Amino acid sequence: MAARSLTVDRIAVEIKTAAVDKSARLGIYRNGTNMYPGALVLDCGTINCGTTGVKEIVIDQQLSKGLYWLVIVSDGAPQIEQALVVSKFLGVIGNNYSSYYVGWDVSQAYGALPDPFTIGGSLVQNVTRVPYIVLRPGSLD
Amino acid sequence: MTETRYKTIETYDNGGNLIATGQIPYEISDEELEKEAAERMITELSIVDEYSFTIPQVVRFLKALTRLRR
Repeated sequence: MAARSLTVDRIAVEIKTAAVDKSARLGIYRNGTNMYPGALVLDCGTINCGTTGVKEIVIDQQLSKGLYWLVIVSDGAPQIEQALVVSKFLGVIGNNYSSYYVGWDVSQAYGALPDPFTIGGSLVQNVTRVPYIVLRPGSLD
Repeated sequence: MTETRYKTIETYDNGGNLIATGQIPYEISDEELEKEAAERMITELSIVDEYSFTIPQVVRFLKALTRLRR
């Protein structure tokens, strides 16, 4: 969520368990309809997943105030640092308040990111942690 | 009291080329260090044959479990 207009200059993840000879692609999508990722904002490029550590990509992307979706797709199964779910922002299921949605998961062939986001994703529910993809603000606009 | 550790950071351009590498420091709190020590202790004691456990080892095992549950 961008609370105001800003320019981001890095997107990063931390590889906790490496996947030899594999890579991952990071990207930013604008929010579409029904809280589903929509138009591609930026295909940020790829990182090497063959070693552990923080992997960042230099970007220069202006974002206006609003909701965005940060995505990762890989040709392997690297384990990346995860963030604790603190906001069940996609809602609570049913009437028992015990189940909740926190994101979207969709099968996608590895390669350039599609525009718009691939349809038919399934809701990620009842997990305590989600992949931790971070943007670094470069400037407030 | 904290401990400073370092993790590697790799910087890529939009074309997937590695353009820089470095180290970034981060702090480990006493609580996290204590949990790491407790995990090591449990791993070490888990491979001890149950019939050769000594009472001090049992005590250390239980204390480590307690630290992890905090």
